Order: sequence, then structure tokens, then C-alpha cells
Amino acid sequence: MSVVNKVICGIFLCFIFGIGVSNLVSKNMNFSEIENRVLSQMPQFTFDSFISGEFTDDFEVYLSDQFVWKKFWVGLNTDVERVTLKKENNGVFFGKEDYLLEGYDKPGEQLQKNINNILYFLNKAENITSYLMVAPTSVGIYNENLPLYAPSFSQKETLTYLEDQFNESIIYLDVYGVLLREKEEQIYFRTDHHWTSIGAYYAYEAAAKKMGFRPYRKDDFSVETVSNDFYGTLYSKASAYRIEPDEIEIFLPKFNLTYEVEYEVNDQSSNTLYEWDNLNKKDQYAVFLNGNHSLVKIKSSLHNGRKLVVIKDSYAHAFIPFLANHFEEIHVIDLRYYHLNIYEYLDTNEIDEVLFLYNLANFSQDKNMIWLKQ
Amino acid sequence: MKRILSLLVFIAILSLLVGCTEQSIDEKEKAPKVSLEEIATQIKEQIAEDMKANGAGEDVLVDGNLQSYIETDLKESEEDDPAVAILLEKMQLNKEEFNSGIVIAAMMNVNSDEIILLEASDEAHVDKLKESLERELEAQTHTWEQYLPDQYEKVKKNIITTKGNYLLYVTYEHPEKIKEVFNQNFE
Amino acid sequence: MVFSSLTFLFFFLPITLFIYYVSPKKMKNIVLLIVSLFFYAWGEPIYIALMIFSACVDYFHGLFIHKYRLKNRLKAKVVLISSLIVNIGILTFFKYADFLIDSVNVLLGTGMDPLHLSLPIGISFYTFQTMSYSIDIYRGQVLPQKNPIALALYVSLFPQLIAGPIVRYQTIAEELQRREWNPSQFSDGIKIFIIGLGKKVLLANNIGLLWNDIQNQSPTELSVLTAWLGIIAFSLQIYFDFSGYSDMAVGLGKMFGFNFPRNFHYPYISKSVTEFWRRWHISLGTWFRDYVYIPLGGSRKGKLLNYRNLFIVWGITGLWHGASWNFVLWGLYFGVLIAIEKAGWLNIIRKMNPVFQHAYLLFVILISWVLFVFEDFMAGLEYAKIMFGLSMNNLYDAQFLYYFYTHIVLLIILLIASTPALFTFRHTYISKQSKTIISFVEHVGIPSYYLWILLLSTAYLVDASYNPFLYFRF
Repeated sequence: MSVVNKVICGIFLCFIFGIGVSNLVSKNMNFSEIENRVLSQMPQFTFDSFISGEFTDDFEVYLSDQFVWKKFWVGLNTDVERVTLKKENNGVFFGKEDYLLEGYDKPGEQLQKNINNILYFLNKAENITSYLMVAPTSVGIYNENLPLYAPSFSQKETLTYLEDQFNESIIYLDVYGVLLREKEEQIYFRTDHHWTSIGAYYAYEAAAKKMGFRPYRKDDFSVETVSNDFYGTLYSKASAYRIEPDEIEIFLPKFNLTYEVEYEVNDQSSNTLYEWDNLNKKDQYAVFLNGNHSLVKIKSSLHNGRKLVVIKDSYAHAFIPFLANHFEEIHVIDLRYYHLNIYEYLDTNEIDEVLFLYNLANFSQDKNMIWLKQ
Repeated sequence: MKRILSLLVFIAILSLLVGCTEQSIDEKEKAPKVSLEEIATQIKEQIAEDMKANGAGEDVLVDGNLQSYIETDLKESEEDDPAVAILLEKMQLNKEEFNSGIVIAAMMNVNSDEIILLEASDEAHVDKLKESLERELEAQTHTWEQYLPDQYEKVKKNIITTKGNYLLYVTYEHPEKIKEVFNQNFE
Repeated sequence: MVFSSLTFLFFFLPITLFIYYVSPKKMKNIVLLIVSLFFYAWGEPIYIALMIFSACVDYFHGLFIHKYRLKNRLKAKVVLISSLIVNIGILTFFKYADFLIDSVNVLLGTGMDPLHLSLPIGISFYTFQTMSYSIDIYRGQVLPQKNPIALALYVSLFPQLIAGPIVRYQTIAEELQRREWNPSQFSDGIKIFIIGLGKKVLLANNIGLLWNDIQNQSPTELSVLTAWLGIIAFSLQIYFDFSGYSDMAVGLGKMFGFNFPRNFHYPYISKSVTEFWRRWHISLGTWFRDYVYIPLGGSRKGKLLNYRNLFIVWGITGLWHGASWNFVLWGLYFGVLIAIEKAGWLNIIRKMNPVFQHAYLLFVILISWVLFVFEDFMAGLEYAKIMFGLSMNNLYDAQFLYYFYTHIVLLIILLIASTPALFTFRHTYISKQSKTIISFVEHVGIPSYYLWILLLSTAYLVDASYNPFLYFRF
């Protein structure tokens, strides 16, 4: 055997044996911060699970979940993709200026279903004043940051269609224009699919008139940067290494107002709209209103008698801190988790204003608005 | 010699046929008639047991009502229970296609647990019902994949299984436990 | 289990190599048999019984065919036919039952329920192998294997179990008895395996993503050029997928002392369909030639019969690829092309410019993949219509440009890898350079080339949950 062949054999054998043994001796992790998910553990071997093939499936998942030096491998993969001019991973585009942008597909029938669900609501809840705010996602505003020729359906077109469909049966809060106008500022996170505080602020400012209150000016808040190492969901989804983290800014009122926040499910309560502990976790966006809950009640020290239900997705979390300054009570309901009768809820709590707040991507796809059809 | 030969050929063909028919008998095996409510009760007991093991109080299961879960009977509920209509529409289930159906789910928790039991009215409808369950799984996946990895983990472990005309859908911390409870009814 | 998985590479393979090489010579066959059964059982344990059954049946049939072969031709024939019935019966039952039921339902308007059996992995390959075993004994080309373990090993040998090559018994009969440790064979095996791994994981899987994207788009939104790009992507995917898998099989075979025949030989550089099938899935082509085409009379019994034989062979070749009518059509399509080439077309094009010959071949092959990939014939037709601009779709759009420039590097690599260009480059250009350069390339370049393929393949396997295996269906 020639020297070269010996070398190649050596490389190969060291490779498979070395990595194989390293996998055996390396410690299993429970959770991957970077992927933001629970990692699977060594499955338990039983005869039944082996026969049914479950064991083998689980084992393969376990092995790839717990593979040694995973970060190195995934990083290597990403680098090669970059070198070969690949511009996306998992449906997330590597845009210009370090922007990660999730493509927006042409909406299917779910969009119409969701429109109908809200129309159903409007019909049934006659005496309620209803508002609808559908925010574009970052790709709708920073379209030009997409890679050359990258496909993404026009969000403006869908939003216009939406507005037409409701035909003034709901108070439509248009925020597309204002966000487009203020795009020079960091109104969306680069690595996350949410908008930032400043983005939410502009939406709030734009919505104020139609919602019947005078918005506070930017100077009425002191803006604080509470994190500069935020890697969001798009970052995880695209396994996009070598991208700068985002900053999270928070608008704290300079005026005097206190809040009482009640998280219904586990009876937690708090006097702040921000949950600071979450800044130490992977999903730092959960600093706003402590992330996802089925029902959150916010009572402010205001006494204007206005009560509002917000039916929403997580875009509301950054938005509600502004809104809370104008309502006595805000009840935040997430239809993904809250499946009880909404009309009864409005009745018992004597609430007569409802705001629907979604981002367009969710509004086009979410399947839980059907819970309005009680 | 001739005899041995023909015997051998015979055995070969026979064993092939037996092998095949056994397979098909297995596939078509008719499950005995069991009560869906009975299974649901057992499942609830199992869940209650798990909750207690996790430190929940003794009163998690009172009069067949499981704390923080809501049970919807897709067939027997009062006509005006809107949850039934919603569930039917969501899964695109046709009332004609099943004799009874029970959904146990968390109604206002950030919790992806969901257990669905269906009994098809006819064997021919089993596939269609299974599609409905898969639709529900798709919806659950969509709801949970975005945040909350621990809840999504349960969705990923979801089990859909059938025994004759009976179908089971489980999204739960330990789906295999529920599956076992379900299977025990057919032994 | 598939070769291109982390479980195989870093778990099954090292353990198997280790056990195999530390066990004494006498035990090696037993060891290989056990690991092969384990390999098969991984993921689909039930059907292991079927494979063992098949091996037993063939073992006894083989012995009896041999026993009667000289004394009583008729008896030998009866046993042979019984063996074929069992093998074809198994294959038909597990692979084609639903296809037959559906076809009968459509033809006669009956309403039989399909059985919904899952396809036992590799069944198309191992039943063909065992049939060749019985037939070769009947023909007196080989002696039956007296040792049941060696025969069971032939049927279940894990490198070629799942996706071929279809190894005839006579090819490895001797190696089943006695294998000598041969270092250069071992290192060849490693090299071939690594190349195959790279083909599958780095090339096929990645271009497969592109085809997947394009296939999932609604046909009304495809531009003409996107449709062409899509089918080109698919043809590259299927070639690199299948040939990569075959390479891994051949490589693994060599690591354990077996020499399997080469299954692909740069098919896309062919100049005619006839040549293409001599380079594509060679072991299947020769199987059908030796066991169907020639016994039917081949081309020796007049033109008319020759054409009949061609169509029979190509019809079943198509059907072998999958239980659906589109595969039959796909096979017949090649039957027609080869008949036309035989009838004189081949002589005509041979005189033409080679560029034209290549263009002709690639064109008909791309069309064949459209037939192949769409199980629903109408969907395939619609796709073909788009390709030929008959559907009023745009010639190109932003989508096409995006796909094109984000895949251009990959496409270029794929095109180079579909030809022997690198090989030629090494042996004509590099070998003329100075000694230092040659020695650098040989001692540093080549080993690092293999190392990089290993590293990158692992990176892609770790990164991707996307690792579908196309040839499982067959």
C-alpha cells in the first residue's frame, strides 16, 4: 500500500472511530440555547419500540441532536453555503446589511378564513368598537435588503386587499405607511421576526387618532438599551453565524403612571410590563409582557373608564406598553392558547372595545382565529 | 424423491401464502367493541396520576373533570356548545363519519396537551378521520413551533394510532403511556 | 439504515469494522451475517423474517436444482420454476399488490380495498439476486452453496442490500468462502466510499433541495426556464443520489473483501440511449439482458420478435422502478428509443457532430425524467407543456434568476462531477508537471481532498434533517 493510501486510510479510520468515541464519551445536553429547543435524550430500549421502529427513529434523532462539536459542524456548513452563493436557509434570507428576512409567501385560503372569522366576530359582537391592526413583517418594509431576485410576495398588496375586505366594518389602523416612512430607524430586529420598541411606537402614534387618544411624544419616554446581545428566532432558524446581535431598547415613561399586571394562568402578578429576567434567556423578546400567555390583565392607575381587549399575537407585546398609558384596563388574549368563549368574557368584564393586533405573516397563516366562532 | 420435492414446493408456496394471509389478517383485525367514554376515563386517570406525581394536589380529578383541562364530546354535547362546531370545522370532521368522539385539551393554558378519541362509524371512514387528525397535528405544529420549545417538544412526540375503527391522537408529555392505556382496551 | 447517516458513519461502521477484523477467520461470515441482519432490522425489523424466509427457500431450491440438473432436466426445471414463483410472488405481493388492485379496479370497475403494505426495504434488489442464483445453478454456471450461512450472507450482505448493485452470485461466490486481507483493496474501498458519500450528501441532497422547491410551486407560476432548471436539478439529483449510493456500496464491499461490479460509469456523457443504458445502473441492465432478453431470443430470432423482446424487457424494467404506470411508460419510452436507434438511427447520428449527439441524448434523458418523476401522468404532461412553452407561462422570471445564481456554483460542480474531467485532468495535465508539483498533489492534495469531503459531509449531515433517500421506493 502506498504512503498516500495509508494516509487516507488513517484519516478515514481516525475520523469515524474518533468522532464515534467522542460521541460516546461526551456529555448529553438538555437544551440547545442556539437552536432554542429541547434536545432529545437516549431513548429507552424496549423490544416493542425496536420492533415498531420507534427506537431506531429516536436513536437517530438523539445522535444528531447530541452530536459532538455541533457548533463547529453547523458553522462549517453555513460557511460553505455562503461561499457557494446560497442566500437562504430554512426559508430565511441572508439579506443585505446583516438583515435576516423571512420570505412572505402568497397567502392561501387561511387568510380568507381569518377574515371571515373576524367578520363573524363583528357581526356577533354588535355593540363592541373593534379595531384591526395588521403590521407588516420586516421583509415587507426592508424589501430592498433581500438578496437579488429573491422571491417574496408583496405585503402591501395583501394589506390593501385586507382593508378592502373589511370595507369599514372595522376601524382599520393602517401602519404600513408610517413604518415605511420611518424605515431609516431600527424599526425591526435584524435577527428576530418581531418589531422593535421604536417600530411599535410609530404604529402606536399612527393608531392613536382613530383609537381616540392623544399619543405621548417620544420625549415623554426615556429610551434605555437593555440588551445588546439579542439573537432572535430568525437567527436560530437560519443557523446564521457571523451576524451581529441585535439591541433591545425599551421606552420607559417619564410621566407618572403605575400598572398592575396579572398573568391569569398561574396567578402571577407584577407591577411592571417588563420581565427583566428574560433578558438572560435565549428569547429576550419575552422581556415584553413576559412572553406568551393565554390571558394577561393590565390595570393602570388611570381612571378614564376605558377597557380594551387585545386579541393578538406576539407583535402586541412590544406595542401594549404604549397602549397601557391610555386605558384603565387592558385584557390581552392569545387565541392560540385561549379557547374559551370570548363573548362571555367581554360581557362579564363589561368591555366594549376590542383590538385585533397581528403581524401579516401570522394573520395569513394562523389557524386559531376560529376560536372566535363561539 | 418426487414426493419430497413436491412436498417442498408445497411447503414453500403454503408458507408464503400463510405469511401473506397472516399479514393481512393482522392488518384487518377487527377491534372489539369498547366504549370511548371508558377509555377517556382511563386516560384522565392516567393524566391525573402524572399530575399528582408532579406535585399537583389530590383534587386534580373530581367527578371525571380534570383540572385545567376541558373535555368536549363531539357527539353528545348540547347542540349549542360552540366548541364542538369549532373543533369539527378545524379538523374538517364530518359528523356522519364517526359514532363518537372525545377531545380533551387544555382550554386556556399555555399547554399543548391534546387528546382526541374517535370511533369511526364505518371502517371505510378510518382513513378520512386519520387525515383529520393529521390536519390537527399540522395546526398544532404551526401554533407551537414558533416559541415555547418544551411545549413544541410534546407536539413533535405526537402519536396518532388506530385500532380497528378506533383512533387515538395524543399530544402529551408521555404519549406512550396514553397509547398503552388505549391499547389495553383491545387486548 | 442508510449509509449517509450519522448513525451509520459513526456508530454502525466503526463497530462493525472493529468486530469484523478482530474476529477469527472462521467467524467472519457469521459476524457479517449478524451485522447485516442488524443493519436491515434497523428501522424495519418485521421484514427481516421475509428476508430470512427468502434465503431459506433459495437455499433448498438451489440444492435441489443442482441435484436434478444432470439426471432429470424436467424435475430441475420444476424446482427452478417453483423458486422463481416464490421470489416473484414475494416481490409482486409486497411491491405490486396495491398497484394490481388499483389497476383491476379501474379496468373492471370493482371496488377492492388496497392492502397498504409498506414496501420491505431492498426487496427489489435481493429477490433479483436470489433469482440469478437459482437460474445460474440451473444453467450450470455455478455450484449451489452448501453452507446456509454463506448463502444467507449473500442475500443479506449489508453493503448492497438496500440499493444494489445487484450482485450475481457467481461474482462473489469465491469471496463468500474465502477472503484475503488486501490492504490496497481496503484503501480503494475507503476512497470509493468517501467519494460516494460526498456524491450523496454534498451533491445529491443539495441539488435535491432545488428540485423540491421547484416541484412544490404551483405550475401556473413556473417560468419556462425554471421548469428546465427543475428537471435538470432532478436528473442530477437522481444520478448523484443513486450512483453515490452504489459507490458507497462498492466501497464498503471492498472494505470487507468483496468486489462488487461498478454500477454507474458517467452515464451523462453518453452519445446515445443505447450507450446511456450501458453506463446507467449497469447491474440492472445486465440482469435483464441475461435473464430476460436473451432467454426470450434476444435479437437472434428475427426483427419482429426482437422488437417484441425489447418492449417486454423495457416494460418490466420500467415497472421494476416502481409500482405505477408512469414507470412502465418510462420504461417503454426507452424501449421505443432503443428500437429506433437499432433500426438505423444510431448509424445516422454516429456520423454527426458529437455535440449534436450529446445534445440529443441529454434532451431525451431530461424528457424521460419528467415521465419518471411525476407519478401522476397528467401532472407530468402539464410540466412538460410548461417546458415547451405551451402553457403561456413566462420564459423566465425573478424566481428563475434567483435560483440560477444561487445555485450556479453547485451546478458547475455537478456538471464537472458528471464527467471524468477531474480524472482526465489528473492523468493528463498534472502528470506532465514537475516532480514537486506531482508529489505535492499526490501527497497533500489527494489526502486533503478526501478529508474535506469527509468533513463537509459530516457538517451537512449534522446540519440537515433533510436526508431523504430517493431509491427507497424501489
